[in-house]
Amino acid sequence: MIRHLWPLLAGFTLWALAFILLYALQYLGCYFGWAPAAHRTALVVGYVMSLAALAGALLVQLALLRRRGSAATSLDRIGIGATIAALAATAVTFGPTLLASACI
Amino acid sequence: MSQDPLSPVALHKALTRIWATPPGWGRLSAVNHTILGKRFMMLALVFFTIGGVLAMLIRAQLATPGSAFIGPELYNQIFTMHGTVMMFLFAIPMFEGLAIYMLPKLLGARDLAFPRMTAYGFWCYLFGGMILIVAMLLGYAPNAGWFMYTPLSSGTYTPGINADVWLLGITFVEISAITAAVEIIVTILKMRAPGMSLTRIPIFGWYMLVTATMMLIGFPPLILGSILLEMERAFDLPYFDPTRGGDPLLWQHLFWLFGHPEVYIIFLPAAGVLSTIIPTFARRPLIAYNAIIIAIVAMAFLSFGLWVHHMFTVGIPHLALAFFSAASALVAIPTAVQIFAWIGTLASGRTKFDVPMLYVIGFFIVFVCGGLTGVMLAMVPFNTQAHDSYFVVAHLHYVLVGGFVFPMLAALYYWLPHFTGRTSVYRLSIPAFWLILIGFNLTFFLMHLTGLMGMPRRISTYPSNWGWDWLNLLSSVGGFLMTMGFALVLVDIIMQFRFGRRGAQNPWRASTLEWAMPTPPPDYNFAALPAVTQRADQLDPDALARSLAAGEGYLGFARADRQETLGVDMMTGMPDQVIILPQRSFLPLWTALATGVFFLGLLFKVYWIVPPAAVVVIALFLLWPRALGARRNMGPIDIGQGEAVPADGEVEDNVTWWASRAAVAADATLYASLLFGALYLAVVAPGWDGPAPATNWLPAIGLATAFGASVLARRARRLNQAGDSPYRWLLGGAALAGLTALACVTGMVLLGDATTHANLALRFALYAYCAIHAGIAMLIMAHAAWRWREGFVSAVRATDLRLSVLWTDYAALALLPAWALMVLLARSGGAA
Amino acid sequence: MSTLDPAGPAAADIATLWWVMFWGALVLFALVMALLVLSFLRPAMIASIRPIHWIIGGGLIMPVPILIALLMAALLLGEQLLPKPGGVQPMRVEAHASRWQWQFSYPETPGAATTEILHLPAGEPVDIVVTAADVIHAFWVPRLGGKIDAIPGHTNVIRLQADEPGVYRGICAEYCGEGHETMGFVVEAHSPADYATAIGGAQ
Repeated sequence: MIRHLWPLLAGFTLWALAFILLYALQYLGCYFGWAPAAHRTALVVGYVMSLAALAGALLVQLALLRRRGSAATSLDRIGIGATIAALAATAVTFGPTLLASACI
Repeated sequence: MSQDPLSPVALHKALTRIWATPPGWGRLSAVNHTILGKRFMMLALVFFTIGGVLAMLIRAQLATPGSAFIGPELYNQIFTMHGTVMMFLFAIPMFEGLAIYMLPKLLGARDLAFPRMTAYGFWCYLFGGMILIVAMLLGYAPNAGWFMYTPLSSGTYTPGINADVWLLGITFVEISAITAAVEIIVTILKMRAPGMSLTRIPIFGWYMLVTATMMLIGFPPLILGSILLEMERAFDLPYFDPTRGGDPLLWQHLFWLFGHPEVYIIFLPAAGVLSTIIPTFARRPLIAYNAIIIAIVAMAFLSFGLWVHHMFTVGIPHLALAFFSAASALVAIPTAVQIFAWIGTLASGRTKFDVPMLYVIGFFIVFVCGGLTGVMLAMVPFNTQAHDSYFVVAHLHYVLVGGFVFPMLAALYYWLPHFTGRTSVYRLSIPAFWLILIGFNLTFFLMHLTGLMGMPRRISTYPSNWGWDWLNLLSSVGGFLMTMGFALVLVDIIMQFRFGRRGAQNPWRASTLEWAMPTPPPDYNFAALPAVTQRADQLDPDALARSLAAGEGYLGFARADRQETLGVDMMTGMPDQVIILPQRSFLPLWTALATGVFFLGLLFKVYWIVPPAAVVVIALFLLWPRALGARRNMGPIDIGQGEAVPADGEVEDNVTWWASRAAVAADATLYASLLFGALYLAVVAPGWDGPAPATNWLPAIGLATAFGASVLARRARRLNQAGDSPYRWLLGGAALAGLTALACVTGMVLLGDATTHANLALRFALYAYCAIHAGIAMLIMAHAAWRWREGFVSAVRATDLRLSVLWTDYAALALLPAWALMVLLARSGGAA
Repeated sequence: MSTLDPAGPAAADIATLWWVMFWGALVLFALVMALLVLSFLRPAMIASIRPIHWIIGGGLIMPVPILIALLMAALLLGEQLLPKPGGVQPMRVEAHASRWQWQFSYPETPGAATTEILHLPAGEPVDIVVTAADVIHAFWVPRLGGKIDAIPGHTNVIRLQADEPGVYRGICAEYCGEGHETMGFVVEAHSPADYATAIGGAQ
């Protein structure tokens, strides 16, 4: 199942992982009392890494589509759409790491 | 190989003899999806009526200020039951029923993958629902709100049986949600007409595939939460008690981690209905099929990232709120994509109008409003004002009535001719529509204002000097208008069943497969299964109906008294197995009754009866596979059209294997929720300052024996593949798994008094989870050994051995994080 | 009692946000309904729109900018409402909930008694420290600002300000059992001159 459906699920699975990562970073930073600047840096780095991971997934899927050429299925194309949507969702959902108060 | 062709009538008689459900008491043995789908929907309508009466009591009480019609104690039971009944006993079972009835017909199969599971799910739904309703009639209904927030729902503040009724009754009902989810997933992926590739399935199939997957992941957190809360209430294990290392917020996280996806779990099937009905009336295929698939996948994921918007006021830091706020707002985009796909379909078609479309228009008006207020509530500052006020009551009814009830009414009128084979004569549906639409908006539109004017939820009376009087009175008037509308709908349904005119087979000129059969549908759906060569929402059901009835297609014959349907490759839709389904049986009923005894024992705290009831349930379940499986290899069997494929027992990729993996996924989600809960309490909860008892070596011993069992299971599978006897290895593995369970139980006993602190209570839960799963692995291996001895297992009929590997692996893997977490808990302090 | 009749900066900002969203939602609702009606009437202009343009126009171009702008505005407003440290710290008042009453105390004013009426100084922000004894309650004074939950084992803070002296009403917004609806309270905002007497002289 995963073997065939991963193009459809990859993007938003990464979004979900980014969610867990950043939520945990937010919480643990407050719990262990990290310096605000360090905490903010960690969050922003997490945000950029998430975007990079999504962008990477998109590039991989585009390359696969090109390589498959006419053998590509419509599921491959739908998967690319889903990953683009997940990339945009990542940019918006975790954008607040740039400015929102982390611990109050 | 090929059979002699029968005449359509003879074929119908032969297939009916195999697939029919006997009359009289025999009805209780029904496993047929057409019958059970209808039963689910009818029972859901009964509960809808009950929930509606409760709503009317609420509106009667609130119509005037200072009302003394029902006091707060009764009022609390009533609003709790209204929410509970509508969510758990109406909405979820209603769409499950529709999916159970519809899916095989839309996909071109003769039944669902596990007919007896459908029946078991139905009985669990009926009995669990009855526990709640009977308790209500006796005055012991739950009264802590449908959200059951602790500590209010804890033993201290709700000492009676009321909260237990909710926790146990709902968990009982949820069995049916999990079994339905597994069935739906496996059926969509594996049981379709030949040639129906994954990108050719009708869009309703995609909607239900995503919905069922969400159920599989969304329900376990609530089931876990209910188990933990019931353990707190029954045995004083302090998971949510802040004075002993628990945290009430853990309940809220678990509840809403279920509760918000739940809203989309309810909406998506309704959207699937709209995506099916609208193209029929627009007389053109749905536009943007691919964009809709992306939209529903996006919705499914996003819906798991916004549960905290029910918790914006609990004191979570702003950054975390911002994540959830953004996700809550973003979910509007896939919704908008679907709305415009529907409008675009209407705009580019040649739309005709009939009763179902009336309700579709109602959907648009009401749901778009609800969506817009949803975006408002996603904004944190506004939410802090509107939260728990009547604004939210208005919003949620706009979303749920707009996004579920109106589409379901459209579905009802669209498919009633299919259920009954009749068309409506009296057209009560039209005045009913106007009553519902006007009554609904009168009731709930004003509530937005009532809420903004400061009226909080869940109060049974209010003073008359705050300007809420006229709003509440008009809301109550609207509520009664709406009720009249729903009453008319119910009358209309009964009239159509009783007095409807015999109608055309495909009255709406639809182009999906469910109309390619006589109506009301025969027990076997299709006399032959069609070959599909294009997207399955663009077929010609009338022509297909004639040729299929004549047996032209796959499996167009009755063979050896077996209920046969086809299994296909998940992606391509090419047939790869003949699925032999179990026939009617009373076993699901007996098993559900035994399950009921188990739950009633817990409810009435008659704990001595609980273990024997559990043993009976397990023993009954072990009887289920006896009706299935073969004692010899059959090899490829003829499926018509000159093709032959093996029976499902002889292929690796069969429905049992798929269902087991789906069950493991749900189980793992439940476990992940438990692990999350343990970490959450250790990090967040107050009162974790003192020293904690160290952990011992029992988890390590359990881990060693569990991995041993897993190694033996693999060895057994390899030996069987080579044609050698796996018997002793299976028994050895079962013994090792039993030792694992024993180690875990010993661990539970040696913990000491787990009621002193959540730290110990969590270890207790981890041990219990691992013990239960080691026990399951033991049972499955021992059962496989028995099946091998009875001759059901061969080198190709190896499903039992593959299941042994799956469950022993899972039992072993579950122990790893349990051990790690126990080490962590021993270091994180707390048990004073 | 009404959130639409704000008496403090937090409630006023939220009310403004509400009115902006309300008019925006009204326009969007009218637009969608108009398109729906047109999709039935099918003038040539509507019928010739290509399917993909419905999705891109209605599903993406229309909602995405609106949602992003709204999210940013709400995020900035939310930041502004937070009880942030730094600067001149507002006075702290404690609100303790139990079934079914509120008790307010003034730890920063020596000798001030615990009261059942919440006394606030008008015209300055106050941090209200909210706790609960038994079950979950929620502190809500609609005319002053949003609500905050009172959760056993947790301490929450909300910053509110009453612009003018006067009497306001507060309620428990989280369902807390049989006496939930009786758990209202009175908020009295006093001019700075009268405030000391009010909390000193209260029961």
